[in-house]
Amino acid sequence: MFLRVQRDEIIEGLQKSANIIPAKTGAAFLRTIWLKCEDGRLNIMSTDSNLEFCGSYPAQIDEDGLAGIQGRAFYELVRKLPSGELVIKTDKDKQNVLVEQGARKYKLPVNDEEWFQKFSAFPEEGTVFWSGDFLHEIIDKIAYCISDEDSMEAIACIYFARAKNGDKAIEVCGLNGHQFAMIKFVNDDIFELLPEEGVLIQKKYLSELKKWLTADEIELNISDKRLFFRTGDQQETFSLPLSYYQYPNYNNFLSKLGEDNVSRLAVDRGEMINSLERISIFNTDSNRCTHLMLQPSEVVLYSQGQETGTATESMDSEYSGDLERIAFPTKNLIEILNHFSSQTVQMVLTGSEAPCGITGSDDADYQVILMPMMIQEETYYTEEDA
Amino acid sequence: MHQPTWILHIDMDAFYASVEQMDQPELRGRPVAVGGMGGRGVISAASYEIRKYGVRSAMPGATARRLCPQGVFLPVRMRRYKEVSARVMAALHEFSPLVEQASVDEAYMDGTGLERLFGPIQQFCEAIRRRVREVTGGLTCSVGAAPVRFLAKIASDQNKPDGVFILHPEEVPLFLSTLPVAKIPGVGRRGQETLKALGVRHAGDVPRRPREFWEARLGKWGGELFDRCQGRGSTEVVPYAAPKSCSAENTFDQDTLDHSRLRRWLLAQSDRVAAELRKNQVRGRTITLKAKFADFRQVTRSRSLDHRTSETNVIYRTAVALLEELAPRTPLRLIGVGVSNFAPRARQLSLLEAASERPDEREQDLERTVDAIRSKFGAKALRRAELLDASGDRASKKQADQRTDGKSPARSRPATPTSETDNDQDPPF
Repeated sequence: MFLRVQRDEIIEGLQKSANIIPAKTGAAFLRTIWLKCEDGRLNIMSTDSNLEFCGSYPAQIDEDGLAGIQGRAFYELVRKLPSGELVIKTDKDKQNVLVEQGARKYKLPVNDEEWFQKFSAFPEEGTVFWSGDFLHEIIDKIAYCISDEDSMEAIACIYFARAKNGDKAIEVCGLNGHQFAMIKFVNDDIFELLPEEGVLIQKKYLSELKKWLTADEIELNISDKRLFFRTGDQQETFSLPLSYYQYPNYNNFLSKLGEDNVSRLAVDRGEMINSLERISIFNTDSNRCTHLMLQPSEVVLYSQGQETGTATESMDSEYSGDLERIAFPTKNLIEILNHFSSQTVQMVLTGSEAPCGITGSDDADYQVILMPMMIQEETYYTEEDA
Repeated sequence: MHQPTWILHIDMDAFYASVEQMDQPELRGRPVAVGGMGGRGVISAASYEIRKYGVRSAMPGATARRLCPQGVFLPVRMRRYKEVSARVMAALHEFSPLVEQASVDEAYMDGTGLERLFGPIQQFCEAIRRRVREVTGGLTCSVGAAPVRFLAKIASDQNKPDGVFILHPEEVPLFLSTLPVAKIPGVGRRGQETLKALGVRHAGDVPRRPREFWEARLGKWGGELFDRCQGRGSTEVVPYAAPKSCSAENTFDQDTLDHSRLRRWLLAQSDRVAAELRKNQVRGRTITLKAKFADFRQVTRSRSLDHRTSETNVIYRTAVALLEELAPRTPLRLIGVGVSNFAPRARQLSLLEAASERPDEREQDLERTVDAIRSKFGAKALRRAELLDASGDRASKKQADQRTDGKSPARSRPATPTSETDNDQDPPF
């Protein structure tokens, strides 16, 4: 292998490649970045055995070949080198990769070529074009509601599925048992691409996908139980494995929001976040909720802790309904409100111990459902006078 | 000036029996035992008069009767004991807010720094005893004071009954040097044998060997033993500990393998446990069945539900399922139901809790109503039809003891198993 390449041509791809390989743990070959010269291009590839990255960059290839080198070290070296041409070649016995830039010379040991496994090729048929920017936004707005525990199977995944109500739309959902976020959008191509049962992507892969995404257009496809992404210039491919679990039927709790007897609260989002931030100071590990006392034009927020004292605030609101009191975990409510951009948010309350739906007029097709805290009645027994 | 830490252990003397003797003056001076009715249950408390005959608490009633045929054997009146106990605890709170009720008849108090208010420690302990006697109308207690909890408990036993024993910090090494090692909490019969083989008779013998020696032989417990035998231990007094379990159990008047009878007992116990859970506003996820065979072999079987419950039917169904899985082939001497793994007082609800798993609102309404009626008109006001006597063996069933953990769950501590008997409650059927 013998090639010349501009350092700035490969540094971003190299970073993306290095991102997905395990830093310390895992077999040595998984910590490897593979360099492959063919067809006048340098291919940079890496995998952690689940995610796969493959980038193809223009280079002057003097001799084709394949070499695997310690990924992190190689990336760090290139990152710290100044812009300019790099000469990368294997030595005579193919035991080392030599990296040279002018008078700078480095030697990195290579991993045995037989460790190399073929990377999944991007399936060309049925490719769909999509906005990287929008996918990035979807991940931002959904991922925080997904369970962090891998053992939770389906709810440790983001779920892309065709709308359950028959619309030709796509629903993207995240759920952790206590809160649920959903974005709904229309895209005929993706609608057709999605299998009937939808696709599940584990949360742990989303952060890497986000790092890989740019605001540019991307190509999307599904094959061999993997989801493929490719940059619009077809230079970089990122793929990840799909999961196959039964996703909970979220219409069970979504449908409650449409019932007749719900209560509706509209509040200023920013004002509520500020109030909740102050109230959270009065929360403790055992008392992490904010109580909302609901009145027609005012909502009173309060928290009471034995050691921390009491916080009470009231704010203007529009309220209609019979529910008088409800409590939410303060931090979760703050986090949810921070994912909206509307000035006013609407909360649909289906009961003091039932789902609460949150939407915003400027956050079209985005909704979050939060379950309240169970409020222990101060007096459990009720006795009516005869 | 350094203030010594004083942990006090206040232990009522032969509590149940003393209450009975107080309430029934004709019993004073006579050998009295509480519990063990029907000859199958165990003695819950023995007066000092009957102890002279060798009768002790936890002894089978039949044995006690054999040892003291002239003894007076009385049923447990838990409600009354709790009433007196509440007065004792209120009296202790007059001295310090740091009072931890360990059971219906004993409590710990952090007395550190209280000498300024109530005088020297001896005087302070005497004042406690006087006050307890006043508020109860004559009951006596024994008080032990020591630098740590376990020594305070040992101390309260030193001058029992009606006595005070103060163990000053500087006296601890000498005290431990002659204290039988069996008195150290955690040293059971097997532990005693192991320690005896290693030449240990007294607590003071243990620190003669290094901690590593004990850890190598007894594991983690070896290190704890080493500490305790040097007088080191907890000084924590927790005024309130959240309940962690609630249970009810029954010793039969005759060993039984009659499944319909066992199920009816389970229903009665489930009903009682569920009511107690609701009273304390808790729900539990783990249901435990306890069974003791005729040969005293005891087994427990537990199942954790997907959701927490305080519903009689859920507890009962689970207990019956556990009984069916256990499939006892030899008669049972005792059966019981417990609920543990309680929900935190405030929890975020789940979106995924299926409707079938959520408490049945109608069922809850019904149980709330039953609780309210029983609270107003007494426990006998309403009973489950399934528990109504149909077979005419009520008399024999009445002899059976209903055993519960005896303490309000709100005050119970998980590590303090008790075996109080409560015949004052309704017979379950």
